[in-house]
Amino acid sequence: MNDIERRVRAANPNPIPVRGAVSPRSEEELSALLASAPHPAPRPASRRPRRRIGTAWVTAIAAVLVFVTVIVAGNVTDRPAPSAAFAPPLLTSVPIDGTTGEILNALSSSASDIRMDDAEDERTVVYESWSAQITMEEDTVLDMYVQPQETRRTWSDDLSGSIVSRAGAVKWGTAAPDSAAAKPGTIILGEDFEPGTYPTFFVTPPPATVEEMRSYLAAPFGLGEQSTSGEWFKAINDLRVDWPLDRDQNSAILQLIATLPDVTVAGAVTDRLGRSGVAVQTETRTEGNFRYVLVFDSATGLLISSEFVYLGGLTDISLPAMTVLDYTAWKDDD
Amino acid sequence: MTSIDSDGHFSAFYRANYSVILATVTRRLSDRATAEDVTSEVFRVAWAHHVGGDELSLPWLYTVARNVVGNEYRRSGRSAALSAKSEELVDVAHETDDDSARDTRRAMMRLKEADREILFMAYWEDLSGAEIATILDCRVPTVWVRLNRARAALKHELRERGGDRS
Repeated sequence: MNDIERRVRAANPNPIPVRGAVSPRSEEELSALLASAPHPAPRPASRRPRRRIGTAWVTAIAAVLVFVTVIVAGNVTDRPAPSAAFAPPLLTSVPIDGTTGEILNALSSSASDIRMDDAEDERTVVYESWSAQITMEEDTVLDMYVQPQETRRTWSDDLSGSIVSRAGAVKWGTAAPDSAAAKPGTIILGEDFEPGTYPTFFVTPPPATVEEMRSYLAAPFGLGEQSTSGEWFKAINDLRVDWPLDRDQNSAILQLIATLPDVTVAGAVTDRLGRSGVAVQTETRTEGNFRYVLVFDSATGLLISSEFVYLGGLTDISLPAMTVLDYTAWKDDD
Repeated sequence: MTSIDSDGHFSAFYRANYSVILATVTRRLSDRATAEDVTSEVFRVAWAHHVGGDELSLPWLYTVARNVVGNEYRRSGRSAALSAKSEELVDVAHETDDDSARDTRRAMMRLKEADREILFMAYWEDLSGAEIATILDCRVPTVWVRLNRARAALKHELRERGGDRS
């Protein structure tokens, strides 16, 4: 527990032991509730009981991860990377000739001639994603595996829509037979949204010029000159989660990236879906030590993947350095 | 136990989450007795939800708690926004309170709401990173980033306003 955490906890004027035994009064209320149902009601299959990561989750995760070998190398490394049991391996890159600006310009110029139907008032975005999760019970590691999910987000101009996520196959590591791994195809999140309620940061279509794109991305998050390139990368990721991008919009993003500081081209990579791409990355240490990576399709120049990696070095997050924490790989809507 | 909870699913859910909901309601209302009543109401809603065959989850329960707290405000005729109400926490007097605790609460109230909320969730309500991520509809790494940023913002605020006595 660091000083700030200790201080915040101590400032709680009404500390309540969380996860402790419930009081006699609440037990009585529970009994009263259970007795108040006159008729059993049909119910869906109950979800598997949650297995808690733990209240001191950062410490707990760290406790697990010390047993795992993780590559200590660049996020996008230029040599083959062995697979860690609980996380995808780092992407492997091959250097590309040219400066960052030259490569971004080339990608922008080669962006495929994809155009969205201006009259279309509904859009769908499909992507495979994964975020670091550790399943634990009584300090024993039960499962260490990577099970991505596929998400389909469909929404309309009236902000109605749906988000459906299905479990994918375990890609790295092994899920024990009694693990919490979902059967591939199982719906793990399904939500419909009434008009006006779809959760998006970007309600209007993305613009097609670099300056408009800068303002557009900045608005929801208050980005400005003081913002890190990582924050801009994150905003781009958030935009792509809800909007398919046409050639001009994609080019505007590439041109915007070219203006950001601390951005480098890692090289040619193969993304999580086996596609050839060019990885562009930036590091930020002002909001945590993380590296953001965006991967653009080598042939079309379109944004196809994003990755998020912990660089190590934070005293209050005891993860091994260079741990892949998250990735998103967008798919065609087919 | 009646047949509707013959598998103990609701009872387990209730016992696992009662204190979390009580904690989040208490910090919004300050008044412990009212918070216990409101928490009871939250679980009455959950019970009806369960009896109706719907699935229970902590994020759903958390949303219900927020709504019931809002109803409590309207019922009691208090017009202040919930966030404004939370500022009263600063002035709550406690026997064990000290200057550092008051300074910290004041500094927290000056933070952006998003920063303040995630500090509350992580340290006052002891929600796990995965739970916070689900409630905020973001990813676990994003929670880490936001929490780290909130801590940095609080530290800055404490130093700027001379409240860092540590």
